[in-house]
Amino acid sequence: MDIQGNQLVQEPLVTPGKSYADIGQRVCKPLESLPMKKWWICFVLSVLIFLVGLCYATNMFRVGLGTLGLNHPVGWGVFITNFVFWVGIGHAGTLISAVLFLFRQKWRTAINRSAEAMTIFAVMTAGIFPLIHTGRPWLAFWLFPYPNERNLWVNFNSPLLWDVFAVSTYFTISFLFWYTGLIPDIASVRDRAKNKIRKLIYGVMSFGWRGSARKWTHYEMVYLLLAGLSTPLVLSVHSIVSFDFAVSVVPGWHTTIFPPYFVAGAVFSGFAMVVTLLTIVREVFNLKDYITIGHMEKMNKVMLVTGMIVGYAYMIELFTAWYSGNIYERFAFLNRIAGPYAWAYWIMVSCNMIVPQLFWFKKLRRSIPVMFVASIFANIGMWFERFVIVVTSLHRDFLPANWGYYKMTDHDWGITIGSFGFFMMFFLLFCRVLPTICMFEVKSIMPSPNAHKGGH
Amino acid sequence: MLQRIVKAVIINMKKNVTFWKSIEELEQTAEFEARTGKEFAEPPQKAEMSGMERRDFLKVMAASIAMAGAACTRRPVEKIMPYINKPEGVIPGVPVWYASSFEDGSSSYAVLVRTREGRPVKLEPNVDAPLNATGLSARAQASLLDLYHPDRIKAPSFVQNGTLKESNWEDLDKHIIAKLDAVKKTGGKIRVLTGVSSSPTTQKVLRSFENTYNAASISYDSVFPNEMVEAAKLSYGKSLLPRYRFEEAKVIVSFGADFLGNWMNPVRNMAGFSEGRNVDAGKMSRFIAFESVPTVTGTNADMFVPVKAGDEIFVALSLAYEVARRTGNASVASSLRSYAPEKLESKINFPASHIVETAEELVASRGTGLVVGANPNAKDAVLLQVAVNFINSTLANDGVTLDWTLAPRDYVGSSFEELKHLVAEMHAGEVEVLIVADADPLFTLPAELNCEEALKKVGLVISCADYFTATSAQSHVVCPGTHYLEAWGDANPERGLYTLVQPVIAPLHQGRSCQDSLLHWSGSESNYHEVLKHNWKSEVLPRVSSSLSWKDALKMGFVDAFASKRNDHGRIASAETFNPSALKNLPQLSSSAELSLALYPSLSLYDGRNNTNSWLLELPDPVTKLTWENVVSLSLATATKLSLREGDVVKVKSETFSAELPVHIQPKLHDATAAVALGFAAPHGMQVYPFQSYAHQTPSWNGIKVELEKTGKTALLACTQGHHELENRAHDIFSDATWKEFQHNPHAGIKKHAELPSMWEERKYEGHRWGMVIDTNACTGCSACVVACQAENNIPVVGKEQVIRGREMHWIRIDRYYSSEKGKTANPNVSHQPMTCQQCSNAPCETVCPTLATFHSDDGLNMMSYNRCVGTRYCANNCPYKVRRFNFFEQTLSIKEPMNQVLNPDITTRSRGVMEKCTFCIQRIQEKRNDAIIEKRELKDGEIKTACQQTCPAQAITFGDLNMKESQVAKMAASQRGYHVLAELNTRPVVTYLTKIRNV
Repeated sequence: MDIQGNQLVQEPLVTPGKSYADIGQRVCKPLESLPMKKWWICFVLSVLIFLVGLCYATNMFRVGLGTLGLNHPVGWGVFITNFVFWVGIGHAGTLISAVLFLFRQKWRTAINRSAEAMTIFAVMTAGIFPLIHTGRPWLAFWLFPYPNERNLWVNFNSPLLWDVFAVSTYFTISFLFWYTGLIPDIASVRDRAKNKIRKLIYGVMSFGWRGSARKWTHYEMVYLLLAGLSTPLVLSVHSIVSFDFAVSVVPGWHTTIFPPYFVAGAVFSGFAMVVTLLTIVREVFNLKDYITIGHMEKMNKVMLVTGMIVGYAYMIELFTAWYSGNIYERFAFLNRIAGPYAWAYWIMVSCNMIVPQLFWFKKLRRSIPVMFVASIFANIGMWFERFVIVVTSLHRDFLPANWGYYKMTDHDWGITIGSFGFFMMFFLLFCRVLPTICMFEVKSIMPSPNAHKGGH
Repeated sequence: MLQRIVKAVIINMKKNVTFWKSIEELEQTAEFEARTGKEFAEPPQKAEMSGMERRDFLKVMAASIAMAGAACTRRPVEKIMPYINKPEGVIPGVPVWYASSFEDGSSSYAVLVRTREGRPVKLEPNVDAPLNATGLSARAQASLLDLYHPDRIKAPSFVQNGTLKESNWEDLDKHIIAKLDAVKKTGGKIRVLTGVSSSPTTQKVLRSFENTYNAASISYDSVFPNEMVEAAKLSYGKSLLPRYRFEEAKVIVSFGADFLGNWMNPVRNMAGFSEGRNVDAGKMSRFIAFESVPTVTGTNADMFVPVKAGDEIFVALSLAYEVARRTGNASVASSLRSYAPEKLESKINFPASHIVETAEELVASRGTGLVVGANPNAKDAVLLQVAVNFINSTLANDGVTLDWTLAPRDYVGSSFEELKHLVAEMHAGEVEVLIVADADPLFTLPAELNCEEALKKVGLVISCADYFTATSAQSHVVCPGTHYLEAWGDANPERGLYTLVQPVIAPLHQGRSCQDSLLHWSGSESNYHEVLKHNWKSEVLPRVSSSLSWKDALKMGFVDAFASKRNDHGRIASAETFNPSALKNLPQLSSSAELSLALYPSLSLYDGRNNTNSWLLELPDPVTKLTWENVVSLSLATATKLSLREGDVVKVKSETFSAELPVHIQPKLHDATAAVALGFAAPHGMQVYPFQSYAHQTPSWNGIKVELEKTGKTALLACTQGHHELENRAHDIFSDATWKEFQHNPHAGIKKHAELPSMWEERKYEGHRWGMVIDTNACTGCSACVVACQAENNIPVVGKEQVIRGREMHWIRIDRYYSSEKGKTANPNVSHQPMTCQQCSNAPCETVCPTLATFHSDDGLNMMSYNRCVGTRYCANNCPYKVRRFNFFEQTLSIKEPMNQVLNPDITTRSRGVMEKCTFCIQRIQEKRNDAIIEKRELKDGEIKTACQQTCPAQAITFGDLNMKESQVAKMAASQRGYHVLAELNTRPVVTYLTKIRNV
């Protein structure tokens, strides 16, 4: 944490005039006081939404997958859409914490904690879907290669199996990375604690962190290594998720562009989600001094770039379909543009390609209402991108006799919306029990109030 | 413990030891005593390293595990019961076969019934009988389900206020006999109304009942082609039905007769039809269909001409005129002059060229042409059939393509006049007792006859029925009948051929066959079985051979007195014997702008006698692909004109009746025709019999004036195929060619794909490699395979709601495509393509399954292990043919008792959340394989038959070992017509399709 970068030419990352104590005070306040009304409203709402989803899911387990809109030929519907969507959301966290760390982007410090938390919760939410979308979820553990008396093994050729490894690895590493980063801050919370139980809990969670130089050296090495380890994961997870489609024979799925296209889309949607959440968090918890408009602008820039990569991918897909001369491929894309699901395609294009273009303008880039709306649009667009890929490709494939139409049922809607409740519930709890901003890192990038640099 | 037991045994033995192994034993020395009970002379070497011996360790382990197990769980106490006295001939797990026969309406088939542990589980064609040697129809296959139907009437009952009040046979019989005796004394009328049956012994029973009570019997079947019998009487003076030889016909013309669907004997018709189009043997007939309703038969036509419903008679007369003119029959030609093709063109706007062309072709193939009539109850049906007779006789087709000498003796039912007379008697209150057996007049008779009122005037109405029909509800007493698999019976489907029906299971409920009831009521000492046996021994068998015993006949299921003469070409209906004055009462050529309704018996439900059979209800109609209900079909032009769309509910109004039906847009339908299938009844579809017109005192199903009125409602149609065009993909999916192209180039229609190189080593198949060939040129789309597969493989029925959602479970489906040149979309070509698992050698489904639940076997099958499936559905997504079926619900457990008894015990049922698909009937493969292993021989070609192949009347499906060089399947797979569906994907299916050839 001793490299200063070119911070002089940039606008300050923390509103000037703040002391170290201010940071601790501000960031730890939600942890040390009773929840505000605003938080309660959000939390109760989230739990209710989650419970609605849970009820639908329970009924689905009881009756069968027939409660969903799935049919022949559409074997995958919104659940896989949700899975890919949530895994995609999870991308921003790791990108911000690992990649930006390796590139020494100091501005990440204010947002990395919550972005990573979002990653963890998003991957948890994502993980639910492949599990519950199986016909017999109680046997889903068969997807793990574990030694068993029947000598049954898994199929390493199947992209679904790769998913199992990719997502579980991603979750594990992301969690470790996040938690490692939390340790010094948890120790601060422990030290601030005035109550015994609180001290005990945070004491256990901080693993006996004492802040000695030796510990800092170890910490920084571990953090660097984990950052190194996470970076390839940012690329691998969504590449592998995209293999679910790319490795198949279905026209519209069987495309080599999928891995980079999915990664770009994931970063795009992840940043959009971070923007959505942080506009709320900085408002609700009054963290505007630390998560400044400058931070938000930078994220919008990333959205602009990744949004254009995604847009490029859309164009290239169309071109490839036409250029291939393959009638099935051509049809698949024509069907997206003008078929029964054209509305979904055009929602996707307008949200993902057109809306981010707003961010060319500095004024709009720095406007909280604009970015809030735009980021929500981007999330809707990215959800529809996955819907378009999953459903429109399946509903009309090779033999016209098989063509069908997929319609979401109340269970599809309920469980999908419930997943947002699940995610928000965890995120709100996180905001209450753990410091949402990496205090020690923010302190490191502040101009020292004591004009004494570099000391911890 | 063990030692103690051994000791006890030895002590016991000591008392009378007579054999000894050694001196020691004899002497019972101490040394011997010490040694007994030990397995080894010397103790096994001890493991010196550990403190505990291996055996001790194992003992302790076993004991502790047993204790742990005993402590934790207790197995549920479930009692199993073996056969205490095993019935002779029943080996659990080994099927027993019985020969029997199935009859409904005009079709009659010899069947083999496969029973397992005493219950019938599958029907198969009796290939030895010269009747339906190639297969069975969908309806015959599904008749098995009727046996186990939960809605069957369980007990003899009185009817009170339209509901059943269960009673017993004793009371019922007492009640009935008392009434019969009383009526007999007063000389009142006793009438028996039965369905049409060819059974000679049933006739005997009826005669004996008639004699006892001075009764009379009338037979009636709404779909039985009575008009053909009447027309034969008018034309040739004899009441006969012909037998057709489609295989010998070079030109076939039909006016709507659904001979490949359910007209006469469709199975034999289909066999003949496809044999006559065996292009590999150089045979190709030309089939011209003039149809108002596109039936499955019409979809196989080389030239299809849509006719306005009711105008078929004009077309037939016009064709008769052309034929008369061309053959120099001036008198007939002059009497039919007003129907000259050009007059049809000018007056009813029917293209003359089609008639001229057809006449030309018919005359050119004199002696090898075949004209068949219309569906039952067409407008002016008798006259139409007379015109057909005229053409056939004039062109000397008699004795070649159709044979009147094979008419069954007692096959014909009563005429409609007799039935009308009965109803009149009932109205007059003259009938005191009416016994209705296997008929539902209230459901099928025209409303004008007012059957309901008539029934009310009858003192006692006895209904012998399996189900609570409309007629049963209006009767006084209901005698539950028996399913044909529960009862004795016989049939005489054509001259000299007698088939037997034998019970393969005791009646499931308290049913009693109506023959038994009649015998009982007429005071007979013997039951129907004895009467049948006696009749066969005394009359039937002697006609065939003096050496034939009853047991032989039972074993074979049929006897044939005519075996040597069956292919003689007897001629009795030549041009000379035809009576030209039969062409009388000619209708006026007239046209009207109104929409004309055509009612037709649907392929699956026929006249509605089994309209609760869920296999049939869920069987997609081969033409509309709709299930579970009837609709009103309109042409696209008419629908557009009336601004109606698929699924819009309209009120169909005739002068006498109206019904609300959803609209279905049907290509090939005449613009002025609306078509509705008969036989349906609420809750599955609409009862539309009341639409039938009664214009000339005969029911007519064609040419009824109707109007359509929008209701503003829409309905979701349970269609299994939502898209009907090939989207320019024909070259990858369905190959067809014209007969001319084919003669020029046997590969015609097939797109050559480049050999795709593989990075991997080819899988080698040593031993067997199962394969299938489907000849789309033979396939007519009749869908018998779909039902056969359903019966064989325990495929669940999902219901209308789920079909609408696209969740039907059929493992084999018939994809039906329309194709046409631009501007001819109203009358496109139709292609039927049976689609089942292609058992790809490079199966896309196998690579993506994460749990290896689907994998490849060494004999080339794409296997599916249900137990290992977690239901990711990835395999189904990745299947280019979309033949995998997912269990969205727990289907099997919800089957109502006793319907679950129909399940084939050879194949497991699938739980919810599991993927399933065609296995090439692996249970059948395994069965024959085991037989071969036990008999220490090689499997023979053709020994294994898949269920679909076995039932296919057109023999379009061939299954066998591709590795066996001489096997039929290997030869056919190498056919020049062979192609693979979506070959470009390099999935390498083992199902080879053969090009469809059209004689256009």
